[in-house]
Amino acid sequence: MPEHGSPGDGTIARLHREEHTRLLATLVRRFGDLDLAEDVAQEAMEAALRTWPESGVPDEPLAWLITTAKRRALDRVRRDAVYAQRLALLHIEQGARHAPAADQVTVDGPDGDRIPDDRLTMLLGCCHPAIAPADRVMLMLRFVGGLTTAEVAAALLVPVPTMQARITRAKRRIRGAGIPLTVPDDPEVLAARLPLVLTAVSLVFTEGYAATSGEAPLRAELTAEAIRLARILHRSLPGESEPAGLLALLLLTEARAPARTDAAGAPVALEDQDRGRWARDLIAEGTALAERAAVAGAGRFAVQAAIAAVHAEAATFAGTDWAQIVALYDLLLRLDPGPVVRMNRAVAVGRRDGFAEGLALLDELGDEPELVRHHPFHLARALTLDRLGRTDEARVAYVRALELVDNAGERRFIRRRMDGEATGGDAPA
Amino acid sequence: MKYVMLLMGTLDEARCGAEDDGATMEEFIAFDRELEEAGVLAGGFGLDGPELGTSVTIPEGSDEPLVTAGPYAESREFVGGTIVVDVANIDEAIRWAARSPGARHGGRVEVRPMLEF
Repeated sequence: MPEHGSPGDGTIARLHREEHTRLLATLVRRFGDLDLAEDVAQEAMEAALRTWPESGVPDEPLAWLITTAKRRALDRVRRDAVYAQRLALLHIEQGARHAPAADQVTVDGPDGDRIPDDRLTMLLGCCHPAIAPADRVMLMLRFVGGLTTAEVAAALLVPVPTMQARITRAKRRIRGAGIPLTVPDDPEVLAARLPLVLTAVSLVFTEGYAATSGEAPLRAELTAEAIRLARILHRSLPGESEPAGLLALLLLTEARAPARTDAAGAPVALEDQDRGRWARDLIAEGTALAERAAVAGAGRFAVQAAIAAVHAEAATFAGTDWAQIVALYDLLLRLDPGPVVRMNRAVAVGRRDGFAEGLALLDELGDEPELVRHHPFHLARALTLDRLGRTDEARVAYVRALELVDNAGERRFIRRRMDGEATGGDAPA
Repeated sequence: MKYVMLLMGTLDEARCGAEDDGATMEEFIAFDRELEEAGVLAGGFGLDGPELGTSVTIPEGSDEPLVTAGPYAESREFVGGTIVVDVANIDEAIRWAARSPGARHGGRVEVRPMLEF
């Protein structure tokens, strides 16, 4: 089983990542077997690298790769009785279950190829409820993101052998427990599965967003990786609100990246960010998508995208439409009544109605188990108390936040605020 | 593919089949009929209470069986019965497990692929 460990394999994977992941997804769909698909996809990529430099890149590279891989798979099945038996079994059991056209999306590639993009199948398969949430993220990065095992390990801060073992275990589980890597034929199952995929993609983004300078650069690239995955999801389900909302949210958040940290790598609060450095193209795309998502529905990600869009539209922090933000948090609260959403709403209320009102709402949440050890909560209280001139109480809250934070950049941010260096703003954005 | 549904209960509320709470025998019989009509039932059995169980183990470094009354002392969970279903994949097995009376009334159904020899 190649894990892309040998030198050069990683290069193949990255050079042709788009083709490779689409190829893999198509083969998994065709064979229903991840191991076989991985093996022959790899062999086809290697064959391409050997022959294309001489014969030239074919008009439809993906079609070439699929044909080559399928031929290899047939060879393998003819040679290997165990494989043949397993495949026959899979085909009898799952043959009727592939709805051929309904869930296929054809993506016009740069070459105008009309080959269906099967990666939605893989995204849904990787996020099966019978797979542990942490493993969903890892499998998505490995098989839809096309990262090598070593890259996934670096990105998720896990030692390579551990990651290798986890991937092997997850694959064994997929095969052993009969977890289908197909698009659920039942619309209710699909509807139940989609939120798991959305959450996993947003987790990929969060991992990258939390990366601090000095960590593996690959980790910071996870935000771009999450956007890639969200794009695949949105393109595969263009009429659905939540995939559009997720993509919008990620783009609008990523747009602030150039202004989010200072020269030393410490976070800059939303209030103090130089909005001129926000990426205008990402904001334009994100805002348009957020509007489309809002028209199609009002799910968790669509509403969060709308909140991000309101921030993006404000020319200055003071000019933010806080009334609208509070209204959107009210909407979000109905979908996700958790304490973290209530906390964010309290901060927005503080901006709309005054810090005393905001503090009163924050203090109502003081006993929430989910917030007791959540440093943003203590930081939000500290900043609000500071604004109200209640310096001693603010200090206690700052110290509590410092005890809980595990990110060097954020620790610096909190220290600075505690020492009253900056003008004062909300939590790092 | 064959899956075994392990119908799990906990000792604190071990009232499987009792009339006041827990799934009733009638519910299980009705569920069995449903499985049979769907053509997926491939076996299974019910178990009497865990208090009637006897544990047998050969301790490390010994050849003599050690016999103790009752279930393994440290486990609060016990298997109340099993149902074997023959379905296409885990999605279908999960769907059946969710319909099982064993998943209600504080019970839990563990779905495990069956090893076939």
